[in-house]
Amino acid sequence: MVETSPGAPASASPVPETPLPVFEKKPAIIRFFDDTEEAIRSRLAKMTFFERIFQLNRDWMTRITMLMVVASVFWGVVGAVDIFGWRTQVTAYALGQQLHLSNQEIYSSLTLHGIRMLFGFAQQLELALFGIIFVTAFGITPRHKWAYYLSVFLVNLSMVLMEGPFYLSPSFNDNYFPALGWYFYSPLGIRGLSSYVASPLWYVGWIALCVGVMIWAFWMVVHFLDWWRAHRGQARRLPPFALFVIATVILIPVSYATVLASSTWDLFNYFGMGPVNPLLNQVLFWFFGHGVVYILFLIPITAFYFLVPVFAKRPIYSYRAAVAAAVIFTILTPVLSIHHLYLTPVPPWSAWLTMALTFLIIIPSAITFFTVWMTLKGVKKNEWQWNAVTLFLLLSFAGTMAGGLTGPDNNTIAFDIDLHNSLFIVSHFHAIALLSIAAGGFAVVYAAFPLLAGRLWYSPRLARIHFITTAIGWSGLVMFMDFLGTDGILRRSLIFPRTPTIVDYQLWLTAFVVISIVAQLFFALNLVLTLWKGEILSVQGLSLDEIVRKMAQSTHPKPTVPIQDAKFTRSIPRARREGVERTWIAVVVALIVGVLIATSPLAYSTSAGIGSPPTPPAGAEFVNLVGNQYYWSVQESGPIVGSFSNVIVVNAGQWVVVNATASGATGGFYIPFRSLPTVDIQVIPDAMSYELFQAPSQPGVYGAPDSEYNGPWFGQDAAALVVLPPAGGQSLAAFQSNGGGGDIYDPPVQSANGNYLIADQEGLFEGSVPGPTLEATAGPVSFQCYIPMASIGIDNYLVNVTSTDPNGQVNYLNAHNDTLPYEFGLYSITTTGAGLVPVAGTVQPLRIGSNLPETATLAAGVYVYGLVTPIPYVYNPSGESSWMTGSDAGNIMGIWGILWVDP
Amino acid sequence: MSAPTESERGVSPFGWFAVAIVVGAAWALFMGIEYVNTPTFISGDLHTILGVAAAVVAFLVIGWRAPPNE
Repeated sequence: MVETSPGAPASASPVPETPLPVFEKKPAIIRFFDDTEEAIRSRLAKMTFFERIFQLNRDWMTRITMLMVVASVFWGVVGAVDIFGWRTQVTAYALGQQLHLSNQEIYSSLTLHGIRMLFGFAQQLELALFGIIFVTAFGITPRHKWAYYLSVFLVNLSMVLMEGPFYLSPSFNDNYFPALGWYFYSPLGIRGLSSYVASPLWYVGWIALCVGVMIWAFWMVVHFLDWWRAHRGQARRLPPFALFVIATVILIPVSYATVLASSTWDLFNYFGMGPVNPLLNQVLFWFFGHGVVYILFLIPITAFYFLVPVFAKRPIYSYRAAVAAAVIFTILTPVLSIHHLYLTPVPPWSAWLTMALTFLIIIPSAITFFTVWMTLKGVKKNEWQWNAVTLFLLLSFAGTMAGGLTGPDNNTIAFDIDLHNSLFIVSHFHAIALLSIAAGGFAVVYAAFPLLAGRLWYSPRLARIHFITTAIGWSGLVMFMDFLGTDGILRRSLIFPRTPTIVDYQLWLTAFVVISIVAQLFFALNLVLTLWKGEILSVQGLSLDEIVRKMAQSTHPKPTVPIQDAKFTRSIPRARREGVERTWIAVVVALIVGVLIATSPLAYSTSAGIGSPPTPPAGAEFVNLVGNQYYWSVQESGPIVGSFSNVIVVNAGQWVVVNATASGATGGFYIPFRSLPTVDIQVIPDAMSYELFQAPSQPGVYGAPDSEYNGPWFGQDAAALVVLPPAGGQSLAAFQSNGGGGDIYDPPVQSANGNYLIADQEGLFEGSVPGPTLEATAGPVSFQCYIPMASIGIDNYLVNVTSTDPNGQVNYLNAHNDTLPYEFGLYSITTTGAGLVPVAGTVQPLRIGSNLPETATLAAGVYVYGLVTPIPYVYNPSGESSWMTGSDAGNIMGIWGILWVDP
Repeated sequence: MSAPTESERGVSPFGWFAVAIVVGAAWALFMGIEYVNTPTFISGDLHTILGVAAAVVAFLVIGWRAPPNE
């Protein structure tokens, strides 16, 4: 490359530090730290294991970078164990096998998977690589060592704190891991506001993370200013990749300031101080939640701008386009919070404005990927080497298309209702997180790690196997997440319909997760072998670009492309290239404006409908809905009057007006119809959400799980929309033949007479909540239920886990003749205000380990069977619940279902 | 411009990255089109999907017709 600007920072000689006055000594505390570090370093450096892994004979910047790389790999491994733990339980549930973890452990493994992968692994690796690349490329002598060390310490400390306390004595107990979201839904987890309470260490951990990352950002700013002052008047322009490193440095404090505010606010609320406003807190959090994804997305972006010109041996196609992309990225990223909250009652203008701005952030991505692609135009096949770096760049390029181009779907407010809570979102996110961000990250690691290790990659074959298996594993898991999401399967729920198709998809998903994990073992092996046996890297006389090519070349089995810089002379004038860029940007802007115009009316009316009461059509049913932990309270007025738990009763085709709110945690009333418009009513404490929908015209029982995670009994928190038959009754044949509205959560329909329903360890009948819909004809009806003693455990909520005695549940049952203080029976659904009315002679005490026969002579109509009142549950194994460790309580109703009696 | 030599023949990196664009974009469009049978697809998402599809086509056409990076 010859097209470099005067002063452009490429392998320039280090900037000499400003000499300190002789009388100025370091503070005593710094001298103490320096001496202590040196004592530890020199001792450990004598051991080959530590010397190789932590590069203890190198400069401090290399040492701390290696420490960050090792720490990020550690958190990556732990995060992989987390998701493996989750998948083992999902797979066991799919196959109807025994679960080995508690609900707290199962859901916290998912939370901590996200936390550890995003912040312990990906972001820490980003900080490590951006830091070392920045000082190397700019020729900066790093200063303020202990500020950098403090940053790394706080980031890793935060990972430990967020895990929360666990007990080693009297018995190992890690059940109080934070079973929250990977983020959190204020006020979920907050003592006094939520039934599920996390340890305050969770919030302290967030604050530590914020402070640690901000220190890193300010360290970068100080060094950039050092460089800027030293080169004032010389530098005409920065290399394109540096623009995106700077964008990262700007976005970190801007984004992290909001989560610092929301976490501090939560911590105050935790100790009963300060006002509570869950919706505002969530909006505040999502300023960060969105920003952090873009901060991580800048890994592949920076990788493209840095590495593609290096391997193409020519400059970027249009420098000005890259500058424009960096500026627009930086301006728009911090303001897109609300696009994660489209289904919550926010002002419609703010939802619309966020939708418009989110469409606009397509522009910098469009510029970037066009510019990067065009940079390659003219590079001949024999001038390009497909090593691990360029292969991962290719994967990242495809992955960004796959993940990024589904973003506009999510951003289309009217369509977001279909996608918002399903695994579609998780598929979209993992396409970005894995196929785009992590693939770009691996490109950077393969291009930069030998510089840290001082050795070339040991095995090109392992690198290639790593690439192939990773591409297969990641692509497969993204695909099957999407297939599940398209069927309406909720994200984050252990409880799902066990239809053959869904079970198959879940098994395939687990298989691809395992492939993805195994793939990283090849990388880890190559990493270790490189540290021990890799050829020594010699960079004498090489430019920075040549060093990068040399390092990458060691991942190619038979390299033929020379690493030397090639002479490049521009023949296409800048104006012509920029004209192409302008044409492309104009097309993108025109398309965005067109899509925005086409989607705005429905987007605005959808948002307005969520945040303000609708005008009720004649004959509408009015439903007041309250989402509790872990059941729904329903009060109806209109043609049907009554109060129910977990059941909404309507007539066929009737319009339904819902006023909804929540207590304790965010929730969602979700009916993933596929042949009717999807219903997804998001409820937030202290806010009111509204919905107007038309009930299906086909009488039947439609499943309605809670769509927003609200604690460890989230899966049991499900309701049913019961569409009553016409007077005189109607069979479920038509309901079944049309697929029940395409709602995957419809309970399976079974014959009532002779049926024998057995509860499982999650306290559900046959893994379904509501339980199977039993169908009979008018006249004598008889079936039995059974709750085996073996199903009673910490995940079966029927007997409280309150004792310090590990056998407390069994002891309780022995002392009470296996009888629980709840009633089990048949109840008629009335529509005139009485709610559920017991059928004479069917209500009996709930006994564990005994048959519960239900026999009655019934008229045509709709009945509810089972335990129809939410029962209080307190989870407190070994008596270790406390304000410091966390706790869980709630009201759960899981063993119930609908009995449908035909004429 | 001289004819390509033996070692220059085959798919260039520009071509392979175009393949990556097509494969990635096809998957993204497929993810949206999977909802074609839902009643809100036409009013809710069709405009967005058509916009994305048009952008992908424009990306490829403009890039293919553009002068090389030389």
